[in-house]
Amino acid sequence: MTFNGKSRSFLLRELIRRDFIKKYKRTTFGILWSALSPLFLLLIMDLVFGTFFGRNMSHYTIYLFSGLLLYNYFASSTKGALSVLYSNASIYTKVPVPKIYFILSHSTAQFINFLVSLAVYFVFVALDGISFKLSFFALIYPTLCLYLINLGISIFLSTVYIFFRDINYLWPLLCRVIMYASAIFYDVSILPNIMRRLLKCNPLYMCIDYFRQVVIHNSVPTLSYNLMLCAMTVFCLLVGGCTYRICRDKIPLYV
Amino acid sequence: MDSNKALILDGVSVRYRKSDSRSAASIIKRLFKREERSNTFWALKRISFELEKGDMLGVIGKNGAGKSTLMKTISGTLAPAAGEIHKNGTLCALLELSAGFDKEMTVKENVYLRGALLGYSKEFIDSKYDEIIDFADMRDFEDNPFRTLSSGMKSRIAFAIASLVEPDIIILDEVFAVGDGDFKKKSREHMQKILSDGKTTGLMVSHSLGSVRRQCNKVLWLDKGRMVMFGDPNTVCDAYEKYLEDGVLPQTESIKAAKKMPPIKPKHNKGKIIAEIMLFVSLLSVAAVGGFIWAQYDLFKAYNISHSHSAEEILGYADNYHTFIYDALGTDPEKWDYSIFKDSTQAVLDGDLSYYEVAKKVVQKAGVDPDSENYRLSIAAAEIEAIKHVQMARLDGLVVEMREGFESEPEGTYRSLLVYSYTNYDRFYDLEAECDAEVTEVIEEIREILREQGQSEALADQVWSYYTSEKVYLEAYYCIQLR
Repeated sequence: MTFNGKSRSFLLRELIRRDFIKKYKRTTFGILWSALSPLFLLLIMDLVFGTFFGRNMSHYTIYLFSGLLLYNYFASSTKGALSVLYSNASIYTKVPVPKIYFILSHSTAQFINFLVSLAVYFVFVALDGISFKLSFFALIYPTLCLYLINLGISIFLSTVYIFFRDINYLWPLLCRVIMYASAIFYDVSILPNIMRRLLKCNPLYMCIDYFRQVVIHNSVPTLSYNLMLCAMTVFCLLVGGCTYRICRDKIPLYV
Repeated sequence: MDSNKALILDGVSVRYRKSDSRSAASIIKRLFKREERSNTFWALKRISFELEKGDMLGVIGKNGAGKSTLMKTISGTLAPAAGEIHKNGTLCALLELSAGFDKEMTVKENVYLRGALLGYSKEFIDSKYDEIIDFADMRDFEDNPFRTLSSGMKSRIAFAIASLVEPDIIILDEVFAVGDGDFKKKSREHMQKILSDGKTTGLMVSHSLGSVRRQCNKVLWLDKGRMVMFGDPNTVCDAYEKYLEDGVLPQTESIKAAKKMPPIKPKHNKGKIIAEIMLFVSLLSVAAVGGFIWAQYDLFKAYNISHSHSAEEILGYADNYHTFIYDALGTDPEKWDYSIFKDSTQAVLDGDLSYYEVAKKVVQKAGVDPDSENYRLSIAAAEIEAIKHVQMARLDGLVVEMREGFESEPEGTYRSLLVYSYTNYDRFYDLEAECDAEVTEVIEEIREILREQGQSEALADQVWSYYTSEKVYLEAYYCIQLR
């Protein structure tokens, strides 16, 4: 069968549904875990770091939560994507279906998961005494960018995983580096000036900072900031997409 | 493509890999042994044939001859390394039916998932769902997880889904060995019905020569990836039977022709080459330029401004932002005695005076009532002004220092003062960081005042953003001074 637009979106929906069912199968709380796990993590981190860094910063909980939530989404989405092409090999070696759909559905399922935890985030924002403003709608932009960045990286990782299994051990290490380079629990002002500038090369930090600027400082980042985020997103997608296109035909021979 | 033709294969070749080892140990071993063995082999070599609409092709050959590879290649799950495949119409492949179902999902969910994977639309499966379940006789198991089914049941449901459409080309890879006797009969009848309309083209792999003779009107004989014979069922099957008895491969036309041909050249894939180039270009350009510029973005911005504007203009812009700060804080700088700022700069640098004291002096001289609403905000504004004055004095000092440093350098090391000052830019960074910290303190103060007055803290952020904008212009001003 050939795929047309309608059956493509149906395929994507079914695959996302499958990923979701798999994720929370046989748990008691099901999708509630999307909200609960960041909540517990936040409590732990807030207890540990709140005493060190929280003293001289207003809204430290929100500051921490912004970083934690986005990093968690990034890490779980990309780490999970590593084995996606490999573990679905039994399907696409038997049924002629575009392989990229498996990565797409994985990323989207993670994204939906992230949106659920984002709802918890806004509850916390309200609890912390920050009232809702119209500028919060600007957050749609970094959220979408982060989704596309994750997608690009996921496609890249999943493809590379087929040929170079060691990435399975390398990527979590790199994730750790990215975590420290995202200023999740510390205040960037403790860094030397040059480091602060370099942090802006990290797209994840840019998204986190975007959230903090909008929610805590009530200021929407400048146009150049937005454009840079866009450029980074395009770059991630380009690298992922090109890698996939180069290796696509070889993948069935290596799984 | 001729509208009578259903499928054309033209020199299709498929390449496989032999070994799977890419551990460091085996790579080193290979390097030292200087082994130059090829890691690939051709699983199919130059397969060419044509099928017309309504044809039924049987593919025969020993195990490992490439029969399943051929079916996978035609179905589209494997991409040929060379050659072309032209298909006319929709294709449905029934290959290893039970693979690819999800164990945890229910039968119903799996039917929809498989349907989606096969490229059906939701409406289509909705309309055919009952038919599938009835055909597979699974009404009682609809909501059971797939892992609880027996393997026969799994094959039955798989066959039911795959065969419910009426495709133009259908590929059968030993699928008739599914289910119990009753279902076998049912599925065979169903296939017969699809194939008997004279328009559907079928391809089947079989080890049973009897059924090939009965059902097919064309037969392809493969051996080690090569085409041995293609043609009339009886001729090919007779030759194959003879080969199975005496083990001598007949020297047919196609085998002789294959020997004379040059080695197969993998085709160049245009999309792949474009993707490779794009990847290289984007990686290189972004890694080199993007990161560098972005890390020093405001410096470049300042440099750019210093090129397109005169010094007076730039100071004017900076003053504009300063006025914004005054407006935001509700202060009137008209009455300020600026000489106080100038005179006390040295004292602040020496640590004899604090910004607060300077600001207080200015505000009191301007005659603002200490009990009035905006007295404290005015002081904050004056403090920012004082910080600016001190920073300017520091920057002036730095510029002088830079000039001296540049002139004392041996000639030719730096081609311009700008390059020199750029390489020593961390001193500017230090100044900037200091200034940032001082202004942050004032901002915190403003925040506190606003909180006490019960006002929104947004104002403080606004002041901060004015300050950062102003900073860029001041940097630009110093770029000019250094030129």
